[in-house]
Amino acid sequence: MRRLVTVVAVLALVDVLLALGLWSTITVGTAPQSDTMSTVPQSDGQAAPSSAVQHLAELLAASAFRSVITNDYAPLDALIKRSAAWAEVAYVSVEDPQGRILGSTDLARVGQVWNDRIAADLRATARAPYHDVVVAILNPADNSQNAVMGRLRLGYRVEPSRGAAQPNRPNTPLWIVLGLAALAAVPTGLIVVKVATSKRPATTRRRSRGHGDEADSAHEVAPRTLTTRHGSEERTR
Amino acid sequence: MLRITWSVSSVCLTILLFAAAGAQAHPHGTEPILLGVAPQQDPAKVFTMWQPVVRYLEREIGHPFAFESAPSIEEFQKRVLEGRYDIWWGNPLTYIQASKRIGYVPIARDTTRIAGLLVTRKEDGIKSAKEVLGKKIAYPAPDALGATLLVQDLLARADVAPNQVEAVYTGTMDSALRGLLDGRVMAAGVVPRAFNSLDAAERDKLSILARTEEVAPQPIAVHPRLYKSVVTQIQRALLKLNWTPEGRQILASILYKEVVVSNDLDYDIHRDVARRLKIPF
Repeated sequence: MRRLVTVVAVLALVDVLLALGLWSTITVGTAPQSDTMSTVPQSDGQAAPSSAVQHLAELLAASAFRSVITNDYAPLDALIKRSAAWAEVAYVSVEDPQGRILGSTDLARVGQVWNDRIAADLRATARAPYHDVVVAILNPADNSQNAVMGRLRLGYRVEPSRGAAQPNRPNTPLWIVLGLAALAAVPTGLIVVKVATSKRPATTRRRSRGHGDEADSAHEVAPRTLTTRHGSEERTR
Repeated sequence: MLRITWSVSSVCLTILLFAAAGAQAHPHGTEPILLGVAPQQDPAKVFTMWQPVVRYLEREIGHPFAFESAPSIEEFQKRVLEGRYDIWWGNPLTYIQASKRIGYVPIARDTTRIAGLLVTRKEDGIKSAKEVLGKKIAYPAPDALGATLLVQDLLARADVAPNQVEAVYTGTMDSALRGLLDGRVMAAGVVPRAFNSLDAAERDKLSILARTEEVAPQPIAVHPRLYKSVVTQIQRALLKLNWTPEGRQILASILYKEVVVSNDLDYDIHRDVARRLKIPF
């Protein structure tokens, strides 16, 4: 029993070390790049929105600027309607600095103050997952001024790309891998000990029958015997 | 004991009520004070010009301000007459209508006064305003105070009513002068600054037939719903702009020379002009 425990422990250690080495190799090879859009909430199972989406949101915000400063919402509504016609756009919302919605793809939201509940409702009613991109509405004619006239939110559906959405990075946590590796040592240890104990009596018997040359001949015969027996087993199958 | 408790409670309640009222600028509570500016240029440019003023007022008054312009002069005038803005800057003729309808009050204006010039070509030999009767006159826009309305008023007083000449609206004063130099019109209504900006050679070809009286320029007017204490604070803050280098820079951004206190009497002369030109107010 003590031998079994020792063997299992040694095997478990070897398995864990091997698993750790394999894990490190895979993880380092597919290390994620720095997140350039940390302010953008990510949806599960989707690729990060590209900078093109961010630029699209900025472009829409620049177009909305004139409507916001002139309180002229007919052009803003037209802009939102045209944007909503694109299949990739889940929603567009334009708010004033206090968060009051001035224009939205969902007309029922206009006049309300943006909050988490509205965001959750939009996500719940969306036909497909999307990314939220939020940009400030600034004067496009003068970047030196930092007066924020409101915010534009863009919900953008991004198809999961093979390169970005399904990276080679292992998804299973490390502790599970190590635990499985350690557990695998138990049946392996049992087999090893069983094989070892099944060999021991035969050797002992042969040794007890004769001396010197006999023992050597027994060593030479044993593989043949095993081969023969193994071969007969194969034949009987 | 009960009486003392009652008295202390009453005093505390009164202080609380006054403190709550003092923290607000208008009956809308913590909503920003809405500043409307007439889109006499592109709204994005107007926004850029007025942002330093907005930020300055926020700092000085300690209350948020929101800037707003309008897609057109007509729309801006409509909004003023609906009482949308807490404080606004725009055409004096809009002011005389808004003061009557809503009760807006002017609190400040630029020191530079507005005048108009009636300009003709020397070679045409026109000697009096009466001689432009039935002729084409170029104006920049129908609602331009100095270049159009004051010139039309001057002509009306010389017995040339606005409907007795053919008005051509060119969009800018430069275009009005160009039309005159090219001989497409017999006269042009402009302001002195536009006339002086011409090349000396071109200016020599023209003569000033008449100069109108000077009137107060665009007012900064406040809605009567703004609390008087806040109005006083805004007025003081605007006057303070004259006294510091930063303030003078802010004034330069809105093309002001110097801010002076204004009141309703400044605009009586505009009321006379409106009456003569039959502009309702």
